[in-house]
Amino acid sequence: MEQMFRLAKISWGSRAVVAAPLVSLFFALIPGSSLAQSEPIRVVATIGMIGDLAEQVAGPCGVVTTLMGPGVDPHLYQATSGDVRDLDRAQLILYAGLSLEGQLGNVLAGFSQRKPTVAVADRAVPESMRIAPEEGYAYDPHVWMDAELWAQAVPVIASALAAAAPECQADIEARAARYQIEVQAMHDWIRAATLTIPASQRLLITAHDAFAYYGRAYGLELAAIQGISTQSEAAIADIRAVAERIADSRVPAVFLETTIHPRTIQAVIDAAGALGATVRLGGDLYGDALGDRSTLAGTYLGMMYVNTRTIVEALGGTLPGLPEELEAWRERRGLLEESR
Amino acid sequence: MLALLTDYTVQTVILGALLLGLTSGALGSFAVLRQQSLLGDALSHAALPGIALGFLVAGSRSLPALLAGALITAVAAALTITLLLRRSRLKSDAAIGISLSLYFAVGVVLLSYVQGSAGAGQAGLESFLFGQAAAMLRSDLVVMSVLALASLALLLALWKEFEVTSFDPVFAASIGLPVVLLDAVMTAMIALAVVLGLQMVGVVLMSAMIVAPAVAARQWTDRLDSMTILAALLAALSGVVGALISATARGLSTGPLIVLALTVITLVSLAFAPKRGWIASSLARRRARRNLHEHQVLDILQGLALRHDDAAYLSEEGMVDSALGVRARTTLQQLERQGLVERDSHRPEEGPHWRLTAEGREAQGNALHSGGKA
Amino acid sequence: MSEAKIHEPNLAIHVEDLTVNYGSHPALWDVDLDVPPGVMAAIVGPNGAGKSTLLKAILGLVTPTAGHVYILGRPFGEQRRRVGYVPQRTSVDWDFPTRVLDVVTMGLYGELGWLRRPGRAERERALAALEQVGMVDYQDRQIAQLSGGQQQRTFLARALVQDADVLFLDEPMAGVDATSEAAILSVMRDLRAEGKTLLVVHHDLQTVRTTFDWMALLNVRLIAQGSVEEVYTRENLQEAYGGNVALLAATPQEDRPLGT
Repeated sequence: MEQMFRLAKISWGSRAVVAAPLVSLFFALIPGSSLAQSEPIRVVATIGMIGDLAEQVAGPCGVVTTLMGPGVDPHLYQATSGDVRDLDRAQLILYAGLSLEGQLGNVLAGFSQRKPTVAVADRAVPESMRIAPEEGYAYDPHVWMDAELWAQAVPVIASALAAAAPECQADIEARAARYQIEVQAMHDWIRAATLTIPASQRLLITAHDAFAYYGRAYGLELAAIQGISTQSEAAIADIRAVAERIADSRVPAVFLETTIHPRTIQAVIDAAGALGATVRLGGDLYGDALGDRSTLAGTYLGMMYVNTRTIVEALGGTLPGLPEELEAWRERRGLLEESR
Repeated sequence: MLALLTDYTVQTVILGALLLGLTSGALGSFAVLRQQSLLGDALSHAALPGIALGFLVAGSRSLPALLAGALITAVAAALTITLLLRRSRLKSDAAIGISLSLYFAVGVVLLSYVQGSAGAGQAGLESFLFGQAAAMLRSDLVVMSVLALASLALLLALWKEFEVTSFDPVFAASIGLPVVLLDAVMTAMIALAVVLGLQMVGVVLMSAMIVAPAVAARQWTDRLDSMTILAALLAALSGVVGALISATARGLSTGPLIVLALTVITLVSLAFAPKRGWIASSLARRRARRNLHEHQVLDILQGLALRHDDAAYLSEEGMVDSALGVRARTTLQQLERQGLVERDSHRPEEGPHWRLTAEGREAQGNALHSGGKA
Repeated sequence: MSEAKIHEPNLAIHVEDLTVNYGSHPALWDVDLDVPPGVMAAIVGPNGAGKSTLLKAILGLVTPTAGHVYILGRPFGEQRRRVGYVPQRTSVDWDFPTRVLDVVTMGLYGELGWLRRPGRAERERALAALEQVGMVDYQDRQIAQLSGGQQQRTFLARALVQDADVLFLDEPMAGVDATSEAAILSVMRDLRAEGKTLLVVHHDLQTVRTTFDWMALLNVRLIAQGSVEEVYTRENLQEAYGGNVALLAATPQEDRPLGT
């Protein structure tokens, strides 16, 4: 390089002018160096419920990539090589844990040795508050279905983000506090909304067992065709059991998750029909994944709102108005011209 | 368990299993006899990309679109196999293996693409890997029965043509039958049977429904028509039994249970069928060996008697063992029971000695002149 | 229109310019064959001479690169009903679930046409054909339980049942026991006596003179054809077999007659 400058007969001043940006660029490319502070940190989340939270809390301090898009079943999802690349380039990895991402165990364990990897649901929900199902899983992983419980995930994510981007700590904590208030407000609203469902119809029937926390938090009984994971196929006995439950309870509607094949629920509806009980499909519920980004259900708050609206209206309740803490959210999402 | 037969869902699944069994059993008989057992496997694995494509094209989870896609790629796989056989030196098993892996790999890639692409609603396609029999609807039964009846009717109409082209395609061509066309029709029918069964037992296990009923049926009959009917009935029976068993407890998958029932039936057929069964043929072999040994021992005793020029010569058992090559005790006892030899132990310290009885000498005299065997 | 296609009506088999390529090299080249009616004709030649290929090309089982075939004056395609074929035994899966009677009945499937099933009349004809080859007692036997010769006789019956005027046989007596050999030969002689024509790929040069009355020597090209006396000469054999003629003594006493 010296040679080059000598040949060009360039002065020391010009050399500095040329060299400085090159040097800055060089340093900027080194990860974690102080010159790269202004770059948002790269965060990778497995499911949308975590990814959305991370986006809300990180704001401009972070760029969040969510591996599993709308309609993707996290119990069955297997990492692609593109995912592994994203995980490799991430500075913080957030996942649910509690065995939700059944097929990603090895991949996540591998990365946890090299970079900050946080099992959000595991960290946020103490054992005493978890639901332990009768068989199979140690704990039911669908904790986000209880908004109050999921609000506890916000400080967990906030502290992980702050550790990865310390210069942003103040901003992160402020946003986390604001968002946590919104989540808590949503929880209160859902309680009020579900209370309007008549007592005889407080039965939530879904394709798989993702709503245990919702049922516990908001006072609904549950029945599901498949268990907590969708890895096994629905069995004849499962369909019959749920059909009988419908016939006994005369519940007006059943629900389908967006990650499940609609034929299973249709088979239940037909079977219930044969037992003399007419039941209709109350609508799609977002259980294991958010909806499309452009729709209302594309965020966590939106997902809980849409789920509650679907359930309450189908089971004969009436939706109350949204509290003022959620006004800001309502405007953000343009609730007045919502798309389902 | 039989009370389950009145249940709506159980009835739906059983009817579906019956239709599946009848078609796959009947058409599978021809596949197996034409030495195309692997073809069923290739066709079912090749259906996977078709299911994904059907979803991508139709944009919904409508069953006709998925099954149409499955049929198209299955037939494409069959054509690929034919092309490989014609244009290269590959043998049938290699051509089938290549086609199977190729299409299945494409299918898995397409599935993961569908899985990763935006748009809620693509879920549930993985259920085609092992089937989702319990989710069968009455409307599906209508489609299935039309297709099943159509293929069985076609099989019946073209029965003798399929029979002769499967047995001796060269001769069939010589009497003017369009062998290539008939082969193509048969392959398409097998593909259809495979596609019909995908919902119930899935891509991975479907080949069992094609191959096992034919193998089991072959054990019991030597006629093509009986074999085909029996294969269809055995497959249908496994369908019903598997469906019933899977309905008894929560969480039991129907498809694999159907295949398990079928496997049990096949193993029983392989073991217990008269004439062709393993037990029957080992018994026959043992009987033959026993007869042979008996003849050999009689010859040995006679030979020893001749050598020593004494019709009542007592042969020490060890000598008989040595000449026979194996322990002769059991054979000698059998012959003793038949009254052809007798034992003598007047010198007990020297071990048992044996000689021919009068009947034994007579039997040898009437039989071959073996003489001097010793 | 059909009159215009009549060509050499006095010949049972008339083949012109028949050429078949396997890959880049010819298996048959420029074969002109004229077989008169009512003869028992043999095609002989060394291994790989194209004898089976000739039969298959005549019958349309192999597509020739060039050439035409006329049977009894008409193009082969129109004469399928008058032609019978007994292929080599090895081409079939003998564990196939079928009985002797079933195999023979299959010979009539071409005649029956689509959708018709074989009935009593067909069964009678099949039994008659089995009678001719001496296999009636075996009609219910599984083909897997037959000896080589019995299998061959079954195949012969299958061709007989078609009541063909011209029969093509591919090594019918190869690897066959003495009884079957005698039976097959006897049937062939009866057919000739009835005025039928037989073209036989024969495996054994030693027995040609005592069995056949007409022969063709083939080694990719046709070396010679005609009556056995005319063709069976040292020069012709030399040309066809290329030099191993020392083994083939052309004296009558050393030829073993077939069927003894």
